[in-house]
Amino acid sequence: MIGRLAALTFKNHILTLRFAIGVAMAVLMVVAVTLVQIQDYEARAQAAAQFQRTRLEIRERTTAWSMVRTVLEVPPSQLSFIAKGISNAAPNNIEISAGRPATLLEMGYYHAANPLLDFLPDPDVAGIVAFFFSFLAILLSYDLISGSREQGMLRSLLAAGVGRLQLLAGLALGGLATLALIVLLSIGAVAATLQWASQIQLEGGVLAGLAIITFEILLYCLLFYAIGLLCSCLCRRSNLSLLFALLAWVVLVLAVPALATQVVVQLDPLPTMESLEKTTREIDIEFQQQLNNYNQEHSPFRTNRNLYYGWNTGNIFDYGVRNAHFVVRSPFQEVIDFRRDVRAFMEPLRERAMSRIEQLQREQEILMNRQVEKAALLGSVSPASVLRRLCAVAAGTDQVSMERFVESARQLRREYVAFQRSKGYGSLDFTTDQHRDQQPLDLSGLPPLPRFEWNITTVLADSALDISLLIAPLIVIFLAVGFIFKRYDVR
Amino acid sequence: MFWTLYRKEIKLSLRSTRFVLALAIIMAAFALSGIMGSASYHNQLAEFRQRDAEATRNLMDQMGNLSGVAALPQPALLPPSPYPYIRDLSSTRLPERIVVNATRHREMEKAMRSNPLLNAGETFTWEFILAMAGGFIAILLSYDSIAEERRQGTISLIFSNPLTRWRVITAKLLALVTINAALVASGMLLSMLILAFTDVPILAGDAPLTMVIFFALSILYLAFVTALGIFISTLTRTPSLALTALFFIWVAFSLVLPSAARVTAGALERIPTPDERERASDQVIGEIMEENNRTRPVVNGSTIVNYSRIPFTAVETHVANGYLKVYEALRRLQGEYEEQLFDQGGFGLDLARWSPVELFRESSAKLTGSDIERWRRFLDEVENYRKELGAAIKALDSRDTGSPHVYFVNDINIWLSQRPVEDVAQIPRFGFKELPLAQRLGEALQPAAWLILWTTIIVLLAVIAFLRADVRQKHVGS
Repeated sequence: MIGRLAALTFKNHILTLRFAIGVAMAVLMVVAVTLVQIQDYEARAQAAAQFQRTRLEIRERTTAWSMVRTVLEVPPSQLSFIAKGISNAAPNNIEISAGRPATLLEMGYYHAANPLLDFLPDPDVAGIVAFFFSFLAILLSYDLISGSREQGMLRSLLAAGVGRLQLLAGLALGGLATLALIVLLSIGAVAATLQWASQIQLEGGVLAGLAIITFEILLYCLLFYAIGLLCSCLCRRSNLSLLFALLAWVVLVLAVPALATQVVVQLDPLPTMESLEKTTREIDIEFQQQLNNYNQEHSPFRTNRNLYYGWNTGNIFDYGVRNAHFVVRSPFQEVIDFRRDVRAFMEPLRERAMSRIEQLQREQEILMNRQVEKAALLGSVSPASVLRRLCAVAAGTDQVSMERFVESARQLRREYVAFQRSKGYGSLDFTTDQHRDQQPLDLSGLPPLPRFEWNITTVLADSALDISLLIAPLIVIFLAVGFIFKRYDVR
Repeated sequence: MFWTLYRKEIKLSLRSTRFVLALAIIMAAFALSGIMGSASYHNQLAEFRQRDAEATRNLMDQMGNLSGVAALPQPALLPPSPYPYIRDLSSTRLPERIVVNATRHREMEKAMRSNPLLNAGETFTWEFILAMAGGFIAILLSYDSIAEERRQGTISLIFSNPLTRWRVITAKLLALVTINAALVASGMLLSMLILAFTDVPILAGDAPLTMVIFFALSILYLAFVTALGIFISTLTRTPSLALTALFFIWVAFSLVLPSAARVTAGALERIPTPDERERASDQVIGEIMEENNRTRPVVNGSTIVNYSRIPFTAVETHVANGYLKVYEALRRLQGEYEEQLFDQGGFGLDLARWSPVELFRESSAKLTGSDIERWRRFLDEVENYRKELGAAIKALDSRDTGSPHVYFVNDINIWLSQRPVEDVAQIPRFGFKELPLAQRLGEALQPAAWLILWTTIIVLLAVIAFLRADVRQKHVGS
């Protein structure tokens, strides 16, 4: 009986005009978005590859360690057409240098899109699904009970011996089949677009990612279908149930996601960049003072004019003793000897100052991550936010992936420092002219760049909680529908 | 008779459940917006003042420790939007601080605004509420205005009165617009009360007038949506079909068209890739350095080769002149690049004008002075400030006999002048000037005029469709 009811519901759904228009629009929109975003991905990937090539060319000619400026780039995601996540807003590369900390705050916006286009929405499949598919699901289910009652069908069905729970199960399964059809058609169209219009191969991570996302989208649509059904059970007239369903949609899809971030930003603001800069400057000044003091006590010239100091060459503090030509009356060898002594004294101090700055930046980074987590927690009330986060996780464009990226940058930097020490290279060598006319630096054994592979286990582990945030309300709503429908007056 | 029909429409609407729901949505949304807007206003202003004070303190710290004004980077801060409760763009990437000194070229991309990990998206402002929830409510109130009457057969009763169709539809449109206006007015009043009680100066300066004009813009936008609702309602046989069609049109206007505009602008109006920009600046630097070395072959890049025969300051001045030319060229390149960014952004917005929703949003943005032009003016003012700073520093430098009279700074050359600056007051500070209301209104009028055109066309279409409509009762579904 349930099977027949489900088949009937499915047939009724797919024969409606709203289904036809809805599916056509859904497929059209996801295909258009996919076409656009894969172009964007390919342009980014090409630019990133070109960027790496240029960096490698420069590195081959490098004669000093401080010129070894490896740039680690957040890898453009093949699945970014599904969810752009934070890839537009967040910085996307970091310079791995022995002398600078590897934190989010040291990252740059190298391939970021035009920020002035932020005035307009950047579409992705997750956005279309969150906004449009949810509405379609509500449109399919809002009148299933109230509309049937108005037409008298509900009474006839129950009179024919159909159990109320059987009827509900039939409606739910029929809805599931209809939604599965919509989702499969859309994702199928996306896959076909990928196959024909892009270099992206439908295999491995892409295929698995698409499969996971299909499942999540189906869950999301089913949740809104259930919300529609609940509204239908709560009202006697379909017009009213539509209103309640739309109200729920406005709140869950439009209001909560916009509010969640804003509430967190207002209630839990970050320390200003200026306050961070102030503390950094204090460390900077203290270090400079130590340099001046040492100079005053030990320099053969007894003046600070022979010192230079600043931020450059991939080091947090770049300092030293000027070359002989600036100190016109000094013997050249004396300057060189003094420079060596200064470095021997100052290097440990520089390392310590840099660790303090790294610690400060790390604290800010942790606060930034916490702010995102709080916004995510608040946004979890909205299935739309949950779905967008799930899609971003599957596409590797979420905040957790960014955290992993920064951590690998940190790891790579540690490996670089170890390499530098094993080779005995000085991190400030650039600032002398000793490397002129030298052979390129021996960089054999330089730690390789980490590879960021799509990993199904990680994606599933990161998604588990959010998936449960879709399943739990789904179960609760269906139970509520069952409970309410048991007492529904079908007259 | 016209007014009887008008009153009947209003009464019917007021009694309907959907009006209660609409009122609940609008009141809740505007109350939340008032609370968030107030928090946003106070927090942004406090943060701006704190940052400004910290920047001044940082400047004073540097004065005592750094040697020479040339080395002083000055922060140019963009103040928060004056009406963050009406409209507030939360892009994490648009600059609100540019650190500038007399010669450094500005880089708008590097300016970190707020948490870059937080994909802020929309903020809960009046403009957002009206563009999205307001539009949605206008649809809900109007989608069955004709279709339902036709379904129930009541339209024939109306026509049994001596009333022309033109008057019937005008009365319906006017009544619905009145209802929408009442909803918006009550929402805005509630929000304003919350703002006033939380010490947001809503009655100061041109804020009241800005709100009144914003209200008028909102009514214009909602009139457009209502006319669209009536038009579609006239064309369709059943209310549910009308609602579905309207929602699809609304999705097209609020999501599809703006997204398509962004994408098209990105594809058609190309901006150089980072690699191309790097190559261009490398080339310029190479040419200038080569030229500099040729005219006086003592400099190889910044390294002085033949030092012994050249007086100290002359060498430095020559190197400095080379750098000055490089910085000037880099500033020019940066300026050209920014122009391209603005061209692309502006083109996207121009394309988005096909959507009336975007026209409303753009006119609100222009009215509150928080549109794309805010950032163009910010960059222009920063550039003017840089020149002002350069002139002031040059004047200070020329009075300092110990200085090599070089007012530029290369990051590693902070030792150029040795004496701490005594008179901080002589260093000009950056201040951003907000546009006066008249100018903002002038700019807002252009998209508003397009919105008026859209509304007129849709009203005319609705009238024509209604004049030609078959009003006989259809027994759909029976």
